[in-house]
Amino acid sequence: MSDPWPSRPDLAGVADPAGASEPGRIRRVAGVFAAQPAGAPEWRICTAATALLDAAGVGLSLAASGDLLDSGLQSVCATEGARAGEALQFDLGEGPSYAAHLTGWPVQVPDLETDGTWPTFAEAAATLGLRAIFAFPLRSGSVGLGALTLYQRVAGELTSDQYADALVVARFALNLFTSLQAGRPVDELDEVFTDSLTNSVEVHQASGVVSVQLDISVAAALAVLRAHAFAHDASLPEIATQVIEHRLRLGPLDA
Amino acid sequence: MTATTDTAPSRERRLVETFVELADTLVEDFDVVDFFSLLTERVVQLGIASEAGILLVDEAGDLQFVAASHERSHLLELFQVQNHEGPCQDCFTMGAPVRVPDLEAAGDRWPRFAPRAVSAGFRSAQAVPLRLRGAVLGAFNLFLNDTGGVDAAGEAVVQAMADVATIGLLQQRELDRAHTVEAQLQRALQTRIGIEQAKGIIAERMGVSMEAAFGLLRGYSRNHNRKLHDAAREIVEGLLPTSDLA
Repeated sequence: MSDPWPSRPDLAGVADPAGASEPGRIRRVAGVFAAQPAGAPEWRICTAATALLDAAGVGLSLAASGDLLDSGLQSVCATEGARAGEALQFDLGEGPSYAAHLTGWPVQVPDLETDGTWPTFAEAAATLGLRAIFAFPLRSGSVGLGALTLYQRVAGELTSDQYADALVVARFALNLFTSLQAGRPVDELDEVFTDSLTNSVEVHQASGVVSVQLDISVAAALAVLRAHAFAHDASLPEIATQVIEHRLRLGPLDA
Repeated sequence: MTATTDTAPSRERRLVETFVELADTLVEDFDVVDFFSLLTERVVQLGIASEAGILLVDEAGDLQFVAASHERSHLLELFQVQNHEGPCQDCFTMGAPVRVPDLEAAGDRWPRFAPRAVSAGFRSAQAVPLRLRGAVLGAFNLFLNDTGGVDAAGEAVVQAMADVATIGLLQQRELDRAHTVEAQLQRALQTRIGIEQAKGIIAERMGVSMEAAFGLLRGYSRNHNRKLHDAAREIVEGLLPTSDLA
């Protein structure tokens, strides 16, 4: 009779990629988090990740819904070295963070120069001095909440150790966001989230305005705004402000 | 070779492997029924009991059948649930282990359950609570073909397994809660964005400022006893004409 209790070597490591749930690792990451200067927890997560992963910058972004066309990822916080990269992804509505959020898998771009996935994004990111980006989804089961993104000014892979640390930090961020919102009524948001929206309020208002002007959906209007911003080498919030203040009226051809 | 004839070191090794295996299953796609089925199978393979079953308390406070190693114990578990009688029921009520070294002598205590268990071929039984601090979440039932019940060493192992099971259960419930919170958070964010989009639509249609647009939206939702975000969503989806707001 064969062994009634076979071992399962084929499953080894699957449940725990790169040892991201080793108690020792979790404790060490928690220790780095605890050692950050006092401040808002989302900031401490970003600065802890910057230190742990030797990153040029780290950003945390949240998705309002699973459907990216609706709203895109809202930046909750970003260290200095991540700010431009986060804004660029929001302007274009694409990039590693969006891909990580959408697919639910980490997206690693160790060298933007040789990566052909997002030619537009990669070119613009290069002008910002960004060379490598690693995005980790904030995901629990089927619900994707956003992404933790590391920005580097030099090309290079993450070590498996850094990769595992990043997974732990992403889990911390997910736990933080859910615990901030736990127990609140559906239409009441923690200020971490309302603050993240203040950066994009005008973009969403402008989407409403353009949807009326062009008689299209708000999702299509957002795409038109993005296209116009890209074509005119402007940021999405800049274009949105001009639309709201009636300094700019987009025609169908701008799409 | 079966687990019951293992030598002591081999049994020790399998015990360790069982706990590693149980810990391994405590991952994100953890399934309560799979996990408890595994637990009941392993306790039998370790030679601690002939058969095993698990009952868990539901939201209403009643015990429900979750898993059993064999169909015979499955039926006995269901019998306990239906008749509110038996060692598992008592164990759950008291939050303490219940030992039944001789089922044939337990007819006074459980007039319906004991004869039923004996006729199913069992001679002794034991129940261990799934307990965390004050709360009892269910009970782990062991049935044996011989009298005497589970020995002290076996009971310690079963209690340790019950503790692992309790952790698994709590983790699952925490996960379910988190999913709800996350889905709510997404909705709440989308709601805020929807209000901004509606303001843009109203402002453009009515030729007013964003602030005035918000005032119109809020006034409409108050006057019609509607939720602000519901009205906003209907504006965005074109279901509510902006002319109705004036």
